[in-house]
Amino acid sequence: MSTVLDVTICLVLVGVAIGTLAVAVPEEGWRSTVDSDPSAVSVGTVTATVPVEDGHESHGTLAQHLARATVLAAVLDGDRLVPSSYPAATRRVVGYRTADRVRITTRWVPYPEAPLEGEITVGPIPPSTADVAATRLTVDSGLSTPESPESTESFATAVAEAYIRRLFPPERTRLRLVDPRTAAQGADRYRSIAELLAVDVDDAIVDASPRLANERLAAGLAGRLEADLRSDSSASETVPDGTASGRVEIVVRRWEP
Amino acid sequence: MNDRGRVPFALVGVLLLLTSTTLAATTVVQPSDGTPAIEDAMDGAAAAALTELRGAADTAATNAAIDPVTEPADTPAGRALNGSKPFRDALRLRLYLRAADRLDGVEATRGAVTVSASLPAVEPTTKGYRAAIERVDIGRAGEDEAAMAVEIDGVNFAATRDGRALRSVERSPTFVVSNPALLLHDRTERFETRANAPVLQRGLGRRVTARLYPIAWVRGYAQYGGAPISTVLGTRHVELATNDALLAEQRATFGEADPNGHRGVAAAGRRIATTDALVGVGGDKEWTDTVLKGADALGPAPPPEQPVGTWREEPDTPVVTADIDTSADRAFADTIGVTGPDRLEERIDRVHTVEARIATTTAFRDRSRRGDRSPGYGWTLTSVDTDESVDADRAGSGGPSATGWTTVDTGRYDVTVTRTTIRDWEKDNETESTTSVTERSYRVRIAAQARTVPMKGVPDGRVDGHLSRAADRAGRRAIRDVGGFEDAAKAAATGESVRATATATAGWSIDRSTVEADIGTVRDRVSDVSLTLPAPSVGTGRADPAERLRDEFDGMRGELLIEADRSAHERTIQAGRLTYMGALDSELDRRVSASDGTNAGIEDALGEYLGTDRLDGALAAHRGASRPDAEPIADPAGNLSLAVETAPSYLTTSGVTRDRIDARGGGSVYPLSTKTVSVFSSPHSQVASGIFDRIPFLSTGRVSLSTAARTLDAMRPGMSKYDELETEVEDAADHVRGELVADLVDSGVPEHEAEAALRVHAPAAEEALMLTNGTTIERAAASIDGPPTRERIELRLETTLDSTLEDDAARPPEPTTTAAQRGAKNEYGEELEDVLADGIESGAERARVRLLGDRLGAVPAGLPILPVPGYWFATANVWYVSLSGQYERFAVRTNRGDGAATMAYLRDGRTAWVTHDGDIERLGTAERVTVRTRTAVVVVVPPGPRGVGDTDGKPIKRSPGWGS
Repeated sequence: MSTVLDVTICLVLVGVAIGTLAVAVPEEGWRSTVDSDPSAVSVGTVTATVPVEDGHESHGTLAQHLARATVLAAVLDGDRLVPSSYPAATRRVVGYRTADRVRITTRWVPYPEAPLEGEITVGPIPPSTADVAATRLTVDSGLSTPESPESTESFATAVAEAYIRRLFPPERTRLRLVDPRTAAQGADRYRSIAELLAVDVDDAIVDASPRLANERLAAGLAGRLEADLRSDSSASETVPDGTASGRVEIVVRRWEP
Repeated sequence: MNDRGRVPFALVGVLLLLTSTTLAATTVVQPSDGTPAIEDAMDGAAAAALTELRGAADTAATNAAIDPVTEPADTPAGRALNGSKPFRDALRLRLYLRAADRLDGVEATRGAVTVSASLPAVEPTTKGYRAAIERVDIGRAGEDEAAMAVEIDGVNFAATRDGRALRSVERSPTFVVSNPALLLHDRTERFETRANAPVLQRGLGRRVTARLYPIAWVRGYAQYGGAPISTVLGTRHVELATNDALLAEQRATFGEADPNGHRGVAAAGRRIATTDALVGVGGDKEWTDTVLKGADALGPAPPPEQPVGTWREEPDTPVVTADIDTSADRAFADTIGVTGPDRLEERIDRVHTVEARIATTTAFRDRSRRGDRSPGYGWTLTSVDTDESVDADRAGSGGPSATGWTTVDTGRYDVTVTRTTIRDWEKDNETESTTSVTERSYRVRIAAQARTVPMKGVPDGRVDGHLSRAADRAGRRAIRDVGGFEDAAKAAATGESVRATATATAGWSIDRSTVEADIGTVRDRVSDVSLTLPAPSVGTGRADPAERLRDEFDGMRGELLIEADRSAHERTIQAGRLTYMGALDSELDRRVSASDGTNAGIEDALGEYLGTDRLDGALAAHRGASRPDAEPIADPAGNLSLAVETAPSYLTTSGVTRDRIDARGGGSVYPLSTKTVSVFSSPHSQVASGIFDRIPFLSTGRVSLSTAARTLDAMRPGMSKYDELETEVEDAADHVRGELVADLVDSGVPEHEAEAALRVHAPAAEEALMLTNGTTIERAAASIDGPPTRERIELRLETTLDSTLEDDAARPPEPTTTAAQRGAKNEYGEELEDVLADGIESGAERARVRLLGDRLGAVPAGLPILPVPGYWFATANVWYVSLSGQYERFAVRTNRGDGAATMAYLRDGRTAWVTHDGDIERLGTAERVTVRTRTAVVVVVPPGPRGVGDTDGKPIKRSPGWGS
């Protein structure tokens, strides 16, 4: 064995050892400079009251508010389905309750790339140079998840029904419609979404029948979703599962400059 | 180059590499294998789990409120609910199932460690569901207990790395969610309890009572005053009072009442107050429109003026006035001898009567003895003969005196009692007699004393003036009775008793008319005595006017007497007054005993329908109705406000289609059913006759002549029992007239004149009425020019009438009258029903008057309190009101929500379901909120011919939905 070869092998081995150490031994404080967990925990535990229109208020954890607001703020191809001041109020209240250098983004989308999606962001965007940590939470969206759907059509219908039901819980909406004190606002809410989905719910409102109104709205919404699914999934042909529609994803980012 | 012994560099390199790898391995592995990652992951998972659990609890509570369970279903899940608190158990079960569902998928990953949270799965059996319920604890929390505290047992956190289990921890998270579901349920339950409360408890019973009282009193008095009212308390009134009471209850329980209900009540009350008083028949559709829909025209705010019977007006406590008046006259008649022995004359005589007695004192003065008792030694006594003689010599005058007595005549006597004893003796055939004489002398003083006859309450009189002559006479009589002073002195000396009393009456020192006039002033003062008592307590036999009057009279007794001196004049006045007061005492006593009987009767009669303790509650409710202010409710989000929404907002007794009130299901319903029983629809109905039976001098099975006559008057010839009743009324009237004629004849009026004066040419009913109400007597007294004064005749006849009306012969048999009246009412009732279609009372009343004249309204109603003739304080009637109803929908909304809809609690009879593992199972039902209570209303009006009560021939009024 030549010395040259020996030295070369040695150097190679030393290099590998250094490399191993350099790779394997973490930098000092690799996981403690930024920790997004406490912020995420506070989002899940801190409670607040958020004003809703018509003089009523909602109380819950910030995560609950964010989840509700995300679903309520959902847009269909960019159009807000129901006017509500609740998402904006939620953004204000959550922003006030969270620390600086925290950005929260929420997202509800019933299936990937769906035209119906809700999104809320709170807090400033972290600078590109910042050291960022993120914690991801998922919170129930309040929509009953469709059980392993058989077809694209049934999936679209299930999602649409669940969503409309979430916006207009039948019994409580009915109470709203039969009480002259609240009937007008309830009817307005129905009309605005009906206009967007191009369905007619006037007779259902007169009869104070949220079931009928919901049925028509859901049919209208399901048609839009189904059309989208068909155009998108022409390649894959797989029916998406309903897990996503039952969840609102909340990502809490915290950064150090 | 020598390279043996040289360590190859490559070897060093290999060693270095090995060391670095070992170092790298230990450095890298250690942090992920240590505790911090597991702890962090655990914390993260716990935080995420808590967020999900809070969400689950909030949603479950919201669902439980809109879909509550008050009656568990007979399913595995339903059977797991505790029957006494199904709402809470259903909420616990829903909460657990939702929590388990939401925790599925909750995990936190830190490094290679993943912690996932879970709850034990629930078996779909009763046992499994029960276990799930047991793992959840809920309770009200917070300042006003508006929030819900939750504790969930057995939440499992399992840490894994690369699918390898590291540790698992079980925790019981505790948290509070700001959801008022429990508060809403508890308040609604409280409302329902109150809406079913009997009068003894706080709630509907009391509130309805408080509202029915003013309605019934106002209408009862109007009827008594002659207003065309044949139904005092109709179905509509009960309906209005119930609805108003329910609104008040909603306000008390929730801080707010359904504004539509306010409008309905306002519209109903306005109809009743402004247009008409309404009866309980007809006009249903129009009415329903008024209270449910037409109410909108009134605008959103209730009108400032509320109708009678709603809570803005509380009635003054009604009172009954009782006075001595009639009794004062009666006692006067008794005193001056109109009715029987002339008590006054007897008393005045007594005042002028002097009694006399003989009084003696005896003083022993001397004793002497002469003669021998025995002839000597050896003699035997054979016989003894004693002789006594008394001699009296008048030694002047001067006798004993005694306080309170006036000495009329006296004498002083020396009395000698001589006792001579002759004894015969024998000795050896030799006889001898001895004589001994004992003389005792006495001084006897003797007097005839006189005084006025003592009378209780009247001072002893002075024996002077013409009383002294009477005293002399009495004294002489007394002396004569003892055989003269001398004999009396002898008797006194020998130890005999000298006793003699004699009386003598002097002429009156005062005119009878003066005394009568004086008694007249007392009578006037007494007849002004009156007192007021709370009417309801009189009407229910709780307060006894007779007894109170007697107490009142006892209290003023001192003022009615004079400070009489010993003169005959003043003593007579005093005695006259005392006589009168004595007569009044016995009159009042008679009233008290009659009244005791009546009160016992009233209590018995009332007790048939409602316990007297509950009646007390009804009365207390009437007094104590108040409106509590709404209290704010604080919850974690601030002020929680509740809004009540009901269907129908105004519970009508008429039918309402469910469609109209946006209630579930089809068809129509009767939201409220009422039954009103007018207890004393006539003074001799079955209930009332029980009271007559208890009054000793009123025979059973008969009615008063006036009642029979009035009934006859209200009938048309040809009606069933008409002829029979007519004959009975005539017979009774004949009897009464006969007694009055006899009375006039006794007073010295010629019989044919008396007959003529009392004869009235009118139909039987009218004649009997004139006879009983005193018109005939007044006329007769005016037409007779007799020796007695007109006033005296009238007084005498009145007294005779009063007592005669109590005779059996003057009281027609009860069955005929009752049957006649029932028949008449039915017949009229049928005729009336056709014209009552519009339900407007004044219209109906006009029609009634047109059809029947004032016949039916003249039929007396009500229970005369103290139905003793002449002592009629008041007429009372009692209405028993039973009601039951149901809200097709009862909802309470809050100002809390989830952004999409506000949180609400709903009870509309719906089925509640629970979803578990994709299976839907019945959990129970949310029963509709019911309303039910019973109460009684007592109305008392002053005495009068019409009384108070329902005279429309329908003593029991049932709303259309009653019993359906």
